[in-house]
Amino acid sequence: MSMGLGVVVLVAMVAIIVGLLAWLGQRFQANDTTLADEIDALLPQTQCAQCGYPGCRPYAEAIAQGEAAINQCPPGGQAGVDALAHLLGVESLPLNEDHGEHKPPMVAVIDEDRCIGCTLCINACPVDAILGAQKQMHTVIADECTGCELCLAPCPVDCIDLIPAPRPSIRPRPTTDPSIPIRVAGA
Amino acid sequence: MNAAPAPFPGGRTLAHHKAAPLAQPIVPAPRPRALNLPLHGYAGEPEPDLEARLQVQPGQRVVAGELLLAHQDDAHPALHAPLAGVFTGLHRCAAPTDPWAAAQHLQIEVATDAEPVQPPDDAPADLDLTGVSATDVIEALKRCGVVGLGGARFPTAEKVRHGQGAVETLIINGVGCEPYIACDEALMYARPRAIILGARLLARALAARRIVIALEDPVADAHGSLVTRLNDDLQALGPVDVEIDVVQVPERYPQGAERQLIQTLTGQAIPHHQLPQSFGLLVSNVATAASAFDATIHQRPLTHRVVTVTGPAMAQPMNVYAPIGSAVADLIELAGGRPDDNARWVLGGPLSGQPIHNLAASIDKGSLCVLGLPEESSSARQSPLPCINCGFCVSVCPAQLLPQQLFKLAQHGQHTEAQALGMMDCIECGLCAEVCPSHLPLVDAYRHSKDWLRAQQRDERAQQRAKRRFDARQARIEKQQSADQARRQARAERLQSQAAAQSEIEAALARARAKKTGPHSPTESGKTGKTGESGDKGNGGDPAT
Amino acid sequence: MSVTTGPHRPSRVRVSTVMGRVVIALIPAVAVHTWVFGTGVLVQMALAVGWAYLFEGVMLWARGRALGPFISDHSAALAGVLLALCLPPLAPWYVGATGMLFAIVVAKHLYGGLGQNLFNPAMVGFAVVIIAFPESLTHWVTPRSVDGAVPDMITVLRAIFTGHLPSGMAWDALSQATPLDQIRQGLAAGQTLTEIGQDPMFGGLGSAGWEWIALAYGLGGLYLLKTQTITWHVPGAVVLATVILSLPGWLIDPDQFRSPLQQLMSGALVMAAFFIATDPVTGSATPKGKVVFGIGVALITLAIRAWGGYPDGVAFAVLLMNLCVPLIDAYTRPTIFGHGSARSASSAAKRTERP
Ligand code: SF4
Ligand code: SF4
Ligand code: SF4
Ligand code: SF4
Repeated sequence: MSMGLGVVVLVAMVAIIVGLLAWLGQRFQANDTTLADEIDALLPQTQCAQCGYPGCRPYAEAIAQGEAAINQCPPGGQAGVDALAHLLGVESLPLNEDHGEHKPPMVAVIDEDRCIGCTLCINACPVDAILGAQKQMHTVIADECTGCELCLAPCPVDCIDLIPAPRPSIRPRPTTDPSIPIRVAGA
Repeated sequence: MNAAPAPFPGGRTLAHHKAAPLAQPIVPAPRPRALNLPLHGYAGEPEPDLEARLQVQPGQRVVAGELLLAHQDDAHPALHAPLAGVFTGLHRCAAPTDPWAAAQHLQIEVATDAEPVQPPDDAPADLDLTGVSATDVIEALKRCGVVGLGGARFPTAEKVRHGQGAVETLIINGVGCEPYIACDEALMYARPRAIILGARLLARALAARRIVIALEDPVADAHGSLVTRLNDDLQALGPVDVEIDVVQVPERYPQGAERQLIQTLTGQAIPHHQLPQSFGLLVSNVATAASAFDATIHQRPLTHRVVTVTGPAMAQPMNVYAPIGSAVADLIELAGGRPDDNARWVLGGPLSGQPIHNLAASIDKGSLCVLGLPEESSSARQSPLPCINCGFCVSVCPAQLLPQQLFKLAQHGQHTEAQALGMMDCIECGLCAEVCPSHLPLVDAYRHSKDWLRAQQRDERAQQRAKRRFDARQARIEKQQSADQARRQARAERLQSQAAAQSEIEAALARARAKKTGPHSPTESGKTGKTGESGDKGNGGDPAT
Repeated sequence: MSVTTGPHRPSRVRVSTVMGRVVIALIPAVAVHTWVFGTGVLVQMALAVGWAYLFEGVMLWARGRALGPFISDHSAALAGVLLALCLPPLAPWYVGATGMLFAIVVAKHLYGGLGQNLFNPAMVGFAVVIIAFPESLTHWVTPRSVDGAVPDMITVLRAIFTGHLPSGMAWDALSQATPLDQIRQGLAAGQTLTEIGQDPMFGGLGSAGWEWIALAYGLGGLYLLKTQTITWHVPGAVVLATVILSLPGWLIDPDQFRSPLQQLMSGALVMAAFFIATDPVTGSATPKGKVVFGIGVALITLAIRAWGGYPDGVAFAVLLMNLCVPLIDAYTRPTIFGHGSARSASSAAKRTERP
């Protein structure tokens, strides 16, 4: 009798826990974003094609399909690879240097005196960050340029340069080593 | 309404240390050799379109009050030459508190015969404001480069424009709640009528019905009550179209912070994602009100401000009427301090101020105070210990945060987690660091974390924009490719039938002939355009690329 | 020119000030303790503080930390004083030494030192000795107010350093079970509380000698409240929860359930309310969390007293609540200013109207 009761209680408990877990699982299920969307959200959107795909989205889809490794995006750097590994639940890899080196963010500037207005860079820019028309001086919209370097090669007169993108300054983290009074560099 | 209905949470009553600089009237700064006017907009971003907005050429002589930089939009006010001299050009040098970001400065070599500007007198008691319209005020604010002088430097014209019609009550903030900073009190003693009239002009521009002038009156015993003075002047100025109240609030830091002041006056905590305007309120500093008066009535551009130069490191603490762009070191010397002393120099007050890294750097329109604390009374020699979770910081935090947890997260680089705990709601009042028994650099850690988060948000926005633009371009290219494809297919099908091929050839020949036989008629070109697929393609392809 | 970060003008209150205030607040309790139980208390205290500094120094050295700033924060001394106050005055020296070893080395430094420990060091030390030396912990000296005398210095030193009493003395003559122990054994033997309470050891307020110590702790606690070293939340919650939780049972059946007054005045509850559960490092950081923490301590203590295997459960109650702190903190965050529910715009404007 008492053993029967024990079994009933045990079964009931298991049933409740299973039900709870199933319900929680449903509640916290990701909504309709696909894996490729989630991967794409982690990619730096530089659209530089160094990964071997014509942009971040195609690379994201290739990763989602299992066709590409996660360490092919130089602009994302090691942090980007780690974030992808975390998302996909796999072991992180070192950044594959064959695809290029990680560089700080850059922005293109066109030497407007030398520009001949050939529109070749406009065709190359993946994010339409270059303004201009045929035979007219071209300019880069600095806010939109991702520094992907794709416009450098097509330019017949080499008038495009990449300069470090202006970054808002981040004041440094104070040190709290108790043995030395707090001081910051730069004085 | 003399008692506060509901005080803001947290906060602390501190010794005010204001009597010394208020013992003498505002001192005009002597003629400096050069002025460096910092060019960093309201949000600290570099000024856009500098070349286009610059009104003077390097090497050009300028007179006092001459326009240097034109007003642009929301965040970029006009800038004028404080003194006569020669504009020598743009210089990139360090901002006083931030050695990591060099800011552009406009440099003026001050003429040797330039007269230092005296602090303006108070407004006459019989001034008539009728006939001044809301537009007059806003235009004057724009033209004269008036910005929020309480430290935020937001262009007043924009603030007023945004608040127009929505604001019922204009709160004039004379609550200089932070110890040592006495510039607002000095101005209230010196120019009460200008402040009242300026407030009325701002209220007129806003179409506000009421004005509340809030102040603490810290040195009423030593130098006379400001409340009484302001009330007397209200009487003297006679009846007006708006209701004006002078309200004394309890001395409690950070009472002068916008949202904390609103909480004290109205009992309303402005939700973090909303502006006071949504609640029919707008807060403006007393010095801003006085500048609005000068701008509207006297067309005087904002070129000088009152800066409190004080602290135990100064022999003679004082309030200085200083041209914008004055070097910090000059101000320290004027107040009898020695810039080469091993003191802690702070821009701002002892709690919320920032350490000055470069004494050659100059003040801007938002600089309230230059404070010198000798090393003994500062924290340099006291090394920090780990947080003991004592909760002192929790009980004083006016934003009701858990400063010790924010600090740990910030120091471990977990900024996103810190954001979830309200990092961006921290007003950097500095109280938590002031009371911390472990002497932790709490606020510096928050500044680091907040800068990081702001940069992160900027990057995220940029990434999203790049993604949108890439997708749009991709869609456009695809559309075009499929259109090309369709056209090619149609053409191939047509060429399949021999007859069509023949007619195609004939049409081409006809076109060639037409070209040879001289100027083509519009009808003909129209016809060929329709039939000649190749010509169409060439035209359509070009502009799209 | 040297540039330093903030705070530009930090609090004159240092960590050592905070710890010092707590030690000052303990003076009345120590005095009463000594009067009631004799000089053994002071010897235990001197030993425990000595061990505390020794272990602290060794651990700081071993962890490569700066000795000066850390040893002068006096947090180790405080842990020593608190542990000594929990030990029977005649307990052998190695009891205190073991307690301090676990308190400082394990509970404090292996968790990362000052400010990092998860568990209250003094209570970890006490929990270890109560499990390791249950025998020694039952020999409490009979309070002066019961038999009119306390052991002299020779007896104290011999008992502590040799573990034996001078010849001709018996433990039974000198010591007795604590009132809490007595109640537990009495109830187990089927006696009613009224019967048990006949014994003079229960004094006027529920526990002879102990009641005065509890009151002295309360006095010290008021000093801490006045200097704003602690907030009212924890002590208020412990005391109120004790009263509220023990009142119904006592009203229903005073023969089975102790009165709220007796609960408070016996054992270490008041001490815990003001000095142990208020330990900032291992307590909750939020005001609401502190209240929850205090209620938890009272609840678990009363439960252990009623049903547990140990006469007093304060140490275990505090340790169990330490374990819950991260959870408590996560659920009791204060509403950030401007994140609460907003009142309507018109009412805000109205508040600025002239009355
Ligand atoms: S390598 Fe370039 S295109 Fe490829 S994912 Fe990275 S940023 Fe995007
Ligand atoms: S402008 Fe050049 S570097 Fe910048 S996004 Fe376009 S192609 Fe890339
Ligand atoms: S005041 Fe300092 S030591 Fe106390 S909890 Fe806050 S950060 Fe920690
Ligand atoms: S600086 Fe920020 S966290 Fe510290 S007390 Fe002020 S608002 Fe709170």
